[in-house]
Parts: sequence; C-alpha cells; structure tokens
Amino acid sequence: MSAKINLLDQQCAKSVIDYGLSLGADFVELFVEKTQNQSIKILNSQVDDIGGGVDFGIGVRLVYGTKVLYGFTNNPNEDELKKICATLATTDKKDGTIQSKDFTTPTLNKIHKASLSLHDPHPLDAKIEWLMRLDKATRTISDKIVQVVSSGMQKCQQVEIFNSEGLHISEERNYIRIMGQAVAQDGTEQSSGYDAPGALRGWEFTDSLNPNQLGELVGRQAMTKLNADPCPAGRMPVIIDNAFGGVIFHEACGHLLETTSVAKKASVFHDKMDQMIANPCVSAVDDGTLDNEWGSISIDDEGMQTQKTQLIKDGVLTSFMVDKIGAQKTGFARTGSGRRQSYRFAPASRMRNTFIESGNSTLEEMISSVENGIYCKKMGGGSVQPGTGEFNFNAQESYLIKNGKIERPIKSATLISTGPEVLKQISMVGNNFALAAGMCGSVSGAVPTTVGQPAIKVDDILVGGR
Amino acid sequence: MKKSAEKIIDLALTMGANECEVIISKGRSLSLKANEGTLEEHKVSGTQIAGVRLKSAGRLGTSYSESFDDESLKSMIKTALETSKYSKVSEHESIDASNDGSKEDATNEHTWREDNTSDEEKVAAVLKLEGDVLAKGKPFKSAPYNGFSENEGEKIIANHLGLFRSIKRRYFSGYTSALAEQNGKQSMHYYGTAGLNFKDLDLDKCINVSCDQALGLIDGSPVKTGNYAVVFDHDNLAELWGCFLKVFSAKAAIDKVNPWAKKLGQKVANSALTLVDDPRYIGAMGYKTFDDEGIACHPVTLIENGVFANFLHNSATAKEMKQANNARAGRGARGSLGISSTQLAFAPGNDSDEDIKSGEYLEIVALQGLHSGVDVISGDFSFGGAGYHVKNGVRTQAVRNVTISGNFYDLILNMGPIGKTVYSNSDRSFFSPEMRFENISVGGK
Repeated sequence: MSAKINLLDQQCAKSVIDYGLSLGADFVELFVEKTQNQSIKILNSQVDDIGGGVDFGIGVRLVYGTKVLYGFTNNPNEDELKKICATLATTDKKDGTIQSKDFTTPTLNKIHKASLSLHDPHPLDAKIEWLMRLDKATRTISDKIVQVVSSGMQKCQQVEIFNSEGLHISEERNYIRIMGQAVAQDGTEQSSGYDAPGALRGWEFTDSLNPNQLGELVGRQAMTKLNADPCPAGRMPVIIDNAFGGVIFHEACGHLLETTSVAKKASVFHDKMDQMIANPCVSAVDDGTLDNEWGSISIDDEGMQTQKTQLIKDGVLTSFMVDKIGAQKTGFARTGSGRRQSYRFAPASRMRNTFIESGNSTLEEMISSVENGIYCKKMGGGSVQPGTGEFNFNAQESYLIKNGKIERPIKSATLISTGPEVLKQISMVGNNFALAAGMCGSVSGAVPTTVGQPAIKVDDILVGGR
Repeated sequence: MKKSAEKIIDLALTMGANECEVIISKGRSLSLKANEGTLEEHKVSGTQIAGVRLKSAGRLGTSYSESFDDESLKSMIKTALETSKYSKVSEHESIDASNDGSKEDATNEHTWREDNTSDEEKVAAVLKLEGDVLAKGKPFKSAPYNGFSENEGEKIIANHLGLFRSIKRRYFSGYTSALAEQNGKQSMHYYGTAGLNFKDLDLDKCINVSCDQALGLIDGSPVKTGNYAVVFDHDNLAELWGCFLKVFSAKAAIDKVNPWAKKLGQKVANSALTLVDDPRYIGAMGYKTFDDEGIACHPVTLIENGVFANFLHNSATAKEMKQANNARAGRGARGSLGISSTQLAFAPGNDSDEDIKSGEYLEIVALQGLHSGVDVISGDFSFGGAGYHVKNGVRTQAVRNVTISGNFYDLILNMGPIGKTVYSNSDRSFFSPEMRFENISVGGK
C-alpha cells in the first residue's frame, strides 16, 4: 500500500528539504495529503444531500530546537514550497549545518485493509438502499418518531511524509461512519436518539452492522427519553456503562497524558510518572494497532509506526502519549502518537484507541451495590480543561437507581469532576468491555479516536440535573 | 478568480448542467504562539478551494476541489453531475439569483482595512500575551495556551445567470490563558480579543481578564444544590444562545428537526425581548451585505416583543414555505445549500444593570460542555459552570464544580429583567444587554 502512493515527486521533496536545512532548521518535514470524501444524507425517507470532493495540500514543518514553524499550501510546486520555507524562517534563518539523508521507505508493520473503499466504488444505489433500511427500521419503533436522519460518510485519506532524517513513508486510511438520529414527539415534548458507529474500513463495514438493530437502538433511545423525568442534581454514585462510556477516561485522563499539555506543565499529571494516580483496579491503554478500529493508524502523522501504549497499570502512571516535539521537550520516548486532522495542522500528541481494560465485576453487581444513584447507559460528548483537569460530560441515556435496582429513565444528566478525582473514585471495573467511535478536537484539529471501557462504578461524582 | 469561476460555469453547462453556481475562496493566514518567552509556533498558509452546486434534470449536485488544474475542475463537475442523479427531484431549490444592480465587490471598511503592522510587532504581541501573565508573578504559573492570528480571505459567488459577487475580509485576533496555582489548587481562565486592525486588539484586557478570573476562581467551591437566579457574562450568554439557533432555521423546520416549526406568531420569550439577526451591524466582525446565493441581505427581526416573528430563509426554503426570502443562505465551497445566521443583536430592555444585578444571584463566567450538554429538540441543557455567588452587589463566594441545568425554551419564556445597555461579546459577533434568568437548577454540594 505504501508504494502505490506518489503525491509528490521525491526529487522535489529532497530539494525543498535541503533548502529548509540550508536555512538553519534542525529538522524539515513535508506532509502531503490527498483526501477523497463522500457523504450521503437521508431525510424524510429520501436522499436529502449527497456530495463529495477532494482535498489536497502540503504541510511544511521546520523545527529550530523545539520551536515549530509550520506552513501549508494547495500548490505542490517546488518554488511555492521553498517560498513557504523562506517565509517561515524569516526570523530564525541561520547558516545550515545539517545534511539531509537519502530517503528510505520502511515496510509498514500493519496494514488495515479496506475492500470497498472509494477507489473501488460500491454502487451508490446500494449505499442509499442500506441507509433507507436504517430510516425505515427507526420509524417502525413508534408512530411518535416524527423524524429520522440517516447518513453515511466515507473518506479515503492518502498521506505521504518526507523528512530530513531520510524518512519517506506513506499510508492510505479508509474511514467509514454511519449515523442514525431519531426525533420523537409527544404533544409538546420532544426528544432525540443518536448513534454513529465507525471503522477504519470501506463500505464492507456495513456487512457487520445491522440497520434494523441500529434503527431500533436510536429509536428506542428517543422514546426512552420522551417524557422521562429530569435528572436529580447533587453528588451520588454513578455506574457508567461500556463502549462510549469510555469518554469519561478520554476526557478525565487521556487529554492530560498527551505531551501537548504535559510539556507545558499544563497537565495535573505532568510530574506524576510512576506514581499512583488511579484506583488500583484501573489499567488503561492507548493502542493504535487494533485491526480496522476507527482510531487505528499504521503510521502516525510524523511517519512513525504506531504502537500500543500502556498508560496506567494497576493505578500507576506508566506512560504519556508522546510525539516528536513532545519527546524533545520531556525526554520521554515517542509513542507513535503524533496526529493531525489534515495538512492544515502541525502534528501534536493525540489519542488513538484509548480505553480502560476489562475487570471482573458484572454490571448487575455494580447496580446492586448502589442505594441511590444513576446508571448512564449511553454517554454523550464532553470536554476538559487541561490545566486543571476539570471536565464535564453529558449522558444521552440514563436511569435512576434506587435500592440496587433501576427505577426509571431520566434525562439531561451531566457529570462533572476533575481527572485526578474521578480516577480515584472508580471502585469497580466490569467485564463487558466494548469500544465506540468518536471525533476528538484539540490543537491539531479533529481526529478519529475510539473510546472504550467495560462498565465502571464511580463512587461519588457531581451530577447536574433539575 | 472571476475568470476561474466563469471557466467552471462554462464547463459545467457544456458537460450537461442546466444551472450552475460556483463559490471560490482564497485565504492567507498567520498564527503565532509563545512558550517560555520565545516563539513556539509560527504558522503561515495560503489556500484556495472551489465548490460547485449545479442542477441537472431537476436534481441538485455538489462537489469541490482544492486543485485548480483543468483535470481536477473537470473531475469536480463530473462528481457533482454523477451524484445529482441520486438526489431527489428538487421542486423548490434552483440557482436563480440574478444581478440586482449592487456593486460586484462588496468589500468595504467594515470588512477590510489597510494594516501595515510589521512582523516584529506581531511577534511582540504574542510574546506579551504570555509574558505579561507570567510577569504578574505568583500564583500565576504559566500561560499555556496563547496565540495571535491574522486572517485574510476573498470569497466570490457566481452563477450561470451572470451573477457575480465578491468580498474581501481581514481580521486580527489574540487570546491568552492564565494558569494559577496556590495551596495545591489550580485554576485556569481564557480570554480573547478581535479586531479589523491590529491596533483594535485589546491585549491588556485579554491578560487582565484571564488573570483576574483565574485568581478569583482559585478558591472556588460548589454552592448548595438548588435553584438560583443566574446572570451570564456576554461571552457565555452568546454561547448559550448559539446552541439553540436552529429554532430560527426554516430548513430545520422543513426537515422536522425544529421545535419551533409551528410557533411563528406565538409568544416564545419574555415580552421585553426583541432579537434581530443583523448582517450589517456596524463594528461586527462578520459584517456582510449578501448571502451565499449572492442575494443582498438586511436585518431580520427574529423575536419581536417576545413573539416569534420570522424564520431565516434561503431561496429554496422561502419557496417551499411560501414566505419571503430574507437572504440567509449559508453555503461553504464544500457544502450544499443551508441556512446561516449572522450577528445576533438584541434590542435594549427596560431595566437598569443595577436592577439585573440586585439581590442574590450567580454570576457565571465560564461554561463547559456546550457542544455536548444540549438537546436542541427538547431545549434541555446541562453544563459545567464557574463564577461567583453575588449578594447585594458583592461577590460572596467563588463558585466552581457546579452544573447549570434547565430548559432553554422555558428559560427565555420566563426570563427575568433585561438591561437597557447593549454590550458586545469579546469576538464582536453578539450584541446584547444584561439578561437575568430566574430559577436555574444548579447542582453543587
């Protein structure tokens, strides 16, 4: 797969890199990207929008010490790329002493195959038919389902990376995401349900996805929330179920373990390596190697082959997620975690597939241990302030627990806490591990990331409601 | 750019399109970040993109390309024509805007100003944004997130009927954060500034607000769980209203995902509340005179004395709902035709700021989770919040780690007093008096 991609002439790349080095840069990198997109949206049980296009551009990175100079253009012309180098180096220019190395192309350790990518176009008719089945399945849940949106997104991202250390490597990443949304209405009350599974695959991903089950899931979610009581507010124990429940770890801890914030000492964990930062029942991983997972990559966006990184083992902090500049600044070894949304962004340390590993408890045991609390079956999104670790996230589907039993559905629950606090409050880890796709926004743009966990019990957390 | 647009339109008509519209955007940007007294990141860009929307055999298709060579442009049109075959037959959406006699180039002093600021001054600005935070000494530990940016761009819209509109924009912005640490507690706050000229940036305000709030909140603690009156600062008030703008979208109403679809003419807010969507608000960063179909746009009253007065329309939604088109078409080069609001401008209310801030209330200066804690359909929201408990004009307690929850539609219907003085948010996109919301549920201790 690596050999097929030829987005920029090697001689041109070498010439631009040599020019960057001649301006005194310590490191020069070209990130070339061509991305083909296709999206289909079904609304009112008919095709509402269908489109696509091609993004193409080149990111130029010059590094002086730990200072990053970054530019990008849509024009692959050698003179244009050199002009960007010259503009970037205006204030840092000095005599160059470093020679570039001849390019060598390593073999990829891992290739995530896609049989029905946008190169091998699956008939649009068949894609539309699949999405129509999702639309129909969602509507059959109840006559109170008044609107359904079903959509499919496919993307084929080709990246080619050249750098002054002699690296020339490329990768093709095929993404697919299916989205189902239901709106339910009863009188003046309205509610919605949503799910959006995704993978690093082609359209063949839908073979493993049942449109009837997905439609039932989002339809029932909307119906469950319709007329549900508001969530009570206050501190209480919370059971967070598996899969997208992992957003709690992503927000509470993951962002604080990226060297993007660690190097600036803007993370509360920046000086906690080898220390106990979580309850001993918690072990967590960021793994870019999982077969065809939404957050997987073969190489990171700095050209390093990706890997599995054990972040926390039995409650002890064992690794950060480290990109090239993060490694220079912190002294920790790179972990293949340099990622970016596109050629428009300089890379930064980011998460891939990040999850809490499986434990021994059953969901039933956890619920039965709660006298008065909340069970969050499906989590929504959230955000974190890296400096303080303060985070919040929203529960899409949740239930009140009374005396060890689920009593009734509730709506609009928000959980807020800080990373260090919530990691210590996890007292039970379940055995029903699962992953879920999401998009993560940060300094280097929005990148596909997977969150995951088994069900966990948080003994005491602030719940927002009415 | 005009020639490129004409070439694309000619090519599309030749290849089988009956109607064609092109958007071309070109941009340049500079962004700088500082760390520990030196420039940490220096980013420049030059970009271009062309997007086509065409109609063939009654069906719409869109596509885009970032390459402008003949082969790429032809491929873009081919993709749009191919995908249009699978679209529904569009009865209402057409490409039919024509020249109305307006000047082709809508660039003016509200969108673009000459600025000869040197690179050295720009570098000095970002170093100041970090350095002045650190210079305040303890308890300020760092300014981990800071930046300066300059953006300029040109956008053109053209169609097969000979319509051509262009506009150039340039704006400057800066922001900083202050991270404070004291007695094992941490607090961080951000603030930003924006302007059409470099000299419009208020860097000192950025630094002072970030530091003052980080310091003010460091010993913050939750208030007792209960219902409180709340006054949001203008940045957070803008964010809150921004979460629910879909209620004004005619397209969302047609698509049955707008909870106000049948509320035109009904009371939806406090009778003292009047809200206008104003593309020509002087001093706003997003000043514009035409929408993304190239049609002249003017202020539209959305809520008048508490009554829902108008949807925002593009030409297609206006035809479908049999209402006048108020030119709020929103379309980027990559996308299809939608709706886009401009600046929200509230009319002054009847009450003084003293009335708004009388008695006991929570002053909220930070909200978290705005992208995830909102259900536009039901109106329910739940955010993390921070600010101050205020009694009789005095801040009695810094408040952190609380949740702010409620139903937005109930909230504005039962809104408390509205101030007489209109203020802008920090990026000059939202203009509103002080608003007091009664009985918001706050989760704390």
